[in-house]
Amino acid sequence: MTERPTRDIASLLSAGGFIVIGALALYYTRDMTPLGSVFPRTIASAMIIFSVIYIVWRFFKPHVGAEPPAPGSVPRRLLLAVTMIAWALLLNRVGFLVTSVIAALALLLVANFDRWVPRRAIVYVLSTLAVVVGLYAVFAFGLKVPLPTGALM
Amino acid sequence: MPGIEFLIDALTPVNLLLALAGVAAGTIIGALPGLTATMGVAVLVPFTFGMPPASALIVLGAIYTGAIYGGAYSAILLNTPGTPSAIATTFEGYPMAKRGDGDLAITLACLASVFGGLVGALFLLGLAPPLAEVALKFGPVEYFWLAIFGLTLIGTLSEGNMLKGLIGGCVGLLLSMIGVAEVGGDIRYTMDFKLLLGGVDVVSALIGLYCIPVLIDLVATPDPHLKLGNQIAGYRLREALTISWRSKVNLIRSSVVGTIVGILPGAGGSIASLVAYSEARRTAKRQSNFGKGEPDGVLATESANNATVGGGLIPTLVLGIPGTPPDAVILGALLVQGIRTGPSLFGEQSSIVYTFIYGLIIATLLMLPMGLLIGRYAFKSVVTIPKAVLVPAIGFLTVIGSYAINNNTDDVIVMVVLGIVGWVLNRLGYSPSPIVLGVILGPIAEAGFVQGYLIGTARGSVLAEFFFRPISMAVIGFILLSLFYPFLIRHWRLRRRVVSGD
Repeated sequence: MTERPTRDIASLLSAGGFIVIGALALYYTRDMTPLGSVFPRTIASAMIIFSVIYIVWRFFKPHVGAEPPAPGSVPRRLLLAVTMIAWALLLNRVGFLVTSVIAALALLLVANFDRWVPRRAIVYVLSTLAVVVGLYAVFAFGLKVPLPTGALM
Repeated sequence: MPGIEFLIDALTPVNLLLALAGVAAGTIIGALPGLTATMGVAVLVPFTFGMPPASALIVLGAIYTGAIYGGAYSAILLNTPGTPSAIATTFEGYPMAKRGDGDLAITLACLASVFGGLVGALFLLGLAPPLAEVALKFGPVEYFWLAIFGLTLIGTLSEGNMLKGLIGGCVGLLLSMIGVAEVGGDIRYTMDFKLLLGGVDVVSALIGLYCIPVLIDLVATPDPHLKLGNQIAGYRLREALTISWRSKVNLIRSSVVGTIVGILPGAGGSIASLVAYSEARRTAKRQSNFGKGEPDGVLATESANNATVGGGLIPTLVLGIPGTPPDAVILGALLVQGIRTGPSLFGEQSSIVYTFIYGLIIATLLMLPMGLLIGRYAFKSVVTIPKAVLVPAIGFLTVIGSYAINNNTDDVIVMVVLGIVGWVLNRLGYSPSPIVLGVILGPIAEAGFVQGYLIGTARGSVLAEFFFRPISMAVIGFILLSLFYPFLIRHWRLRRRVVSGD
């Protein structure tokens, strides 16, 4: 017995989403000058047209190219995304170095699948700190990039 | 060939050492996502002010060519182009690394970069003044069509997903419009968020859309990041040389494409490598291998993007119009050194110019041992570093790289948000390349479109301005060909099969 391929509903929904985004992009051009709006209008219209063609095409070939679900741990993915967002938001407030050290250690916890034994923990933590502090020094002192110091450093 | 005495000038021990140091620094800068060739040249330009003009130019040229090559490392090993020029290198380089041929891909990239760099430099040496005239033939409308050509190429290269590629290109173009419009000064699509006023930076978008999805997938499973091939972290030089020799036509064609695209101011390595990749794929006997780690793809993209170095210097030196962004920095350094660019440069200050060009050729040759050496260690490091240490290291590079472009944390926020959205879009089958290219080509396309529109209105026919200029017509022809070629080929093969009764 052959397995029936899954219908690619997600792609259809995404094309619908792009039609909405295109329509919004068109709508917001009402406040722009004719010179500033001519290109956004053209591109937003093109996006709507391509999305409509895509939906029509999928109507005739509904089972083509459905992406399989992403394998692996969803909580780890979410934790990485949350850590990266927090990292970006706290740079100015807390300081580049301190935020980066904390966020990098958090990412180390998220990315590690091995059993934590003291030796491994020490090597991993020291390596991560060496990368972060080393690159921080290169940028801050070597390349003279003014990194934010925030409340802590 | 002009003046052998200039070659001897370029071969002084000091110049050789400077070229070697420049290539090494450039390669490392280019390999780090967020540090582009432009940034590398700009950061290091003050160190050259005290040097003799020819030596200063040799260092800058060496950094530039090294950085363009260095972009291939992260493209191959992390699926993240170190520089925008290496976007197309991810198409074949990363699949090669995934299946255990990362060392071979890096050696191929090195050989191709050296070959492309030499071809570009030889064009610069022999044909600079007549070729610079080509750049002057391109008006705003031609640049508009060229940008659209780049986007349609990427759309059609999205295997089986042309429409998704085109939609992705539109998303990128809309992203490029966020902020204050260059033409007209409108504030567009900022949704009253102050952080969007400055727009979406190209490098932030590049890092976010390529790097963050890789990180998100890296932490999801305990599987190793890359496979290690049978020959443990060797150079695989003989194998790479055999493949390169077999693909000599591809190498020559891609290098010439890179040189010509490099001559066009603003077009840059990203378009050059895409055009070369598309041609390599179109003419390949094993078309079905493309997208799965085909060495010809790496050879095409890397030879083309390094050929833009010499190509871009042609209008820079002959016309004073920088061909690529790093050329603009080099132009500034030339002015600081008291060198006036222009057609007379090759006559009045020939000693400096020719010493520089020979220096560039030497730097390109030095890239071979240096590139192979650095590449071997880069490969070994990325393959052997445990994932738990690799993820925070890449994470830190993405944050500091996107911050350092404008010294602004807003760029980091934009990078992270785009990265997360990029991962979702990736899962839905929208690859990041069309979106990033949209962001890169958006300003070129818009400036050309609006200027062409205004000129057309003033001349009484917008249609004629856009569609009936000779170069425009040729580029439109290429666009249509790239859009419909896959269908035509499929139709033609089907017919042939029917005729042969298969």
